[in-house]
Amino acid sequence: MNQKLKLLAQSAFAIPGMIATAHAAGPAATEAAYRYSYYSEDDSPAARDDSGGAQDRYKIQVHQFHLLTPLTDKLALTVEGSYETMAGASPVYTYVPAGEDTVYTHFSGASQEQRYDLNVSGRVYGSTSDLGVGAYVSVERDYLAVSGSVDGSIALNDQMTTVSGGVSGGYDLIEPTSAYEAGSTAQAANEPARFGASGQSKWQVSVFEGVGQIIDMNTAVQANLAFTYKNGYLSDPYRDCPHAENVPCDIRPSTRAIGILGLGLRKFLPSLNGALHADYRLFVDTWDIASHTVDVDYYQNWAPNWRLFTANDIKFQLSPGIRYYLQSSGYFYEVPDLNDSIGGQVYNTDTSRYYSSDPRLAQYGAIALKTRLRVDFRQFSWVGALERYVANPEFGFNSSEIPGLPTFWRFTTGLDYRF
Amino acid sequence: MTPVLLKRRFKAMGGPCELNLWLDPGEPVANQALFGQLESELGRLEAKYSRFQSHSLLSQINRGEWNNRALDAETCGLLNYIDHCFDLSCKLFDPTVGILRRVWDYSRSELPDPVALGRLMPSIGWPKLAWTGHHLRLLPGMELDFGGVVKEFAVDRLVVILKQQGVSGLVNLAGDIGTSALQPGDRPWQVAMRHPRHTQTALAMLDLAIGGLAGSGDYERFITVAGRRYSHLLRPDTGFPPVDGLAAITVLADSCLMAGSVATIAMLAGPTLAEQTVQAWLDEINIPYLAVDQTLNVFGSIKVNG
Repeated sequence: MNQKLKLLAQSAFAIPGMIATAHAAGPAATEAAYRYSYYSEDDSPAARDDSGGAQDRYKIQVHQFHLLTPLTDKLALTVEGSYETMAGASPVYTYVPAGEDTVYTHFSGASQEQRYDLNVSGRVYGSTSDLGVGAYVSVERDYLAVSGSVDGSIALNDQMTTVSGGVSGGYDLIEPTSAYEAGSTAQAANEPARFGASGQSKWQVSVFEGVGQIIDMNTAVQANLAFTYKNGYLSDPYRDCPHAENVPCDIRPSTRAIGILGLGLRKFLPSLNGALHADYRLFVDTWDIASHTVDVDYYQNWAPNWRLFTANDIKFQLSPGIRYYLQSSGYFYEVPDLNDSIGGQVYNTDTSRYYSSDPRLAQYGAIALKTRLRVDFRQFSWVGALERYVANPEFGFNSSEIPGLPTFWRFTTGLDYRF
Repeated sequence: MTPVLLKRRFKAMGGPCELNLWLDPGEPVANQALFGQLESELGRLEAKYSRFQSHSLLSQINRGEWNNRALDAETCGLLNYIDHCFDLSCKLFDPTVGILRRVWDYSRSELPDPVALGRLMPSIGWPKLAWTGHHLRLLPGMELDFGGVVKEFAVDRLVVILKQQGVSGLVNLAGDIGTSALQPGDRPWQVAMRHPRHTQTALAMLDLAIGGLAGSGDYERFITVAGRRYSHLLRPDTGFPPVDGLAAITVLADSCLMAGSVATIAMLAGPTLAEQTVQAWLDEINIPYLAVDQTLNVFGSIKVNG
């Protein structure tokens, strides 16, 4: 189709009510997108690092590719892949050293690691419904994850209500010891967690259901429920420490059931040509962790009515946002105090009880400030986003120190192309 | 039961309308409900965008009651589309030109009074409304007219309803046509293109699969003064119909709205548009069309049956 005619068609079919299957029409054009993300954690706090100095924490670079193409007017294929490199130190264990009364974290540096993943999905579109199936694989040096999913949605009530649902299942295989020697007592003693985790696996199943309701032409609300059950090796094999006697420093239950409730509001503000998105998420699990997330984003649209901009269909969207996160502690989270243990050994051969000093299982809060700019230019869109995330126990009404919690910057940029 | 072609004729939007739907004759209640739904949607659009109804949104806009207030999404979509057509047509497709009907009287073979026409010309110009994508500001004396888009949009809306119901049908609103699907047996619909000088006869029969068809011609409303034909299609730059333009054109497109606006732009252009002949412009945008020039020469890219 000629470019002028294509733009005219876009303009015509952008009028509400011009498309028969507004909620479930198959995509009319192919979309290709690339995203680059740079994630950089702040250095560890020197005063709470048992190495005596600050360490470079994780730096992660992610290259993501996305292709969505209609195969017919009712069938579309999506292929997504990503390549990730990561390097830097991460907290391995948190403890109170003998002779001290404050919490320290031991960091372990990782050499550069890579991760590749591929996600392929197909979706069939009916007049008011759609059904999708997907398959996913992720490969790291020490990790293999595969999963599959089926999901669908149907629009009811003159397309004012959308009901969606789906199921997914996954299987992960862990190989944390690069030179694993079966039966090696030396390896078992030196790296008990990694040695014990070699060849371990876990599986999980999830079901979700969601309802979206258009209230009026400027307001929509949505609610969704999800339930996930995990079974298998759920500990962190890299949390080895010298304060345990030939046993891992991190032993978690082998099952975890998770329930999530999400509520969302989308409000278009015509007088501002902007939109407010507000979301709340409640997470509860059988590890006694409960978390609350509140996300508020504002989208300001701006289409300058100047010749250069209108002729090239140039539009801007600036979206600042804030997220607050609050979580309670897992029931087996503990920071071992070496002052209480003879010889500095806090864990012994009794592996029947669960324990972990992973800061992600502690009671803490986090605040993220986000801003994102999107520029549309004809069939291209450029996106740039910056996020500052700060996790702190005080944000979660916890006066204890948790020095391993991350604080990071994340920068994302990318280009979309529709043809 | 095998579907049969059920027809309904009525008047709406100032002209004759015809619905041709392939429906199951064993479902008279459902069929009646569908016809009712289509007529009700047509009534909704007429009540909203009619310039003859004082309570219509268009009348409110023209009284300045919506100046700098955010308009609803449907109206914004239509105005954004008009804005696009204004650019595409090199400023010829202008929804403020309707005010000229005050001086063009097609019931008398007289040209408008040049002074009266000159007084109205400053009230024409789409950019003067400062359309932002959600707001506009109508200056005193100006008037907005959705003629040229609303009837075509209405065709598309009815086609959308038919598609949602899975019904094959043809919607004809005073010559603006849309189809929701092929006829049973994968047969295209047959549509006649009117002869611009013998309007009761067909110049050609066209095949229409799924999409929209719209035509425009200097035969619809015109006056003849001193042997020269002046059509109802008025240019915003001169206040007059184009000189040496097309006599008629029929356009096929994915939607009736697109077909109608391309047909209107081609008719308004006169002999040239965007520094090329109208024929070259139509060929460049690569839309199926069949046109007739003032010498009754027929040209275009549509395959004609006869």
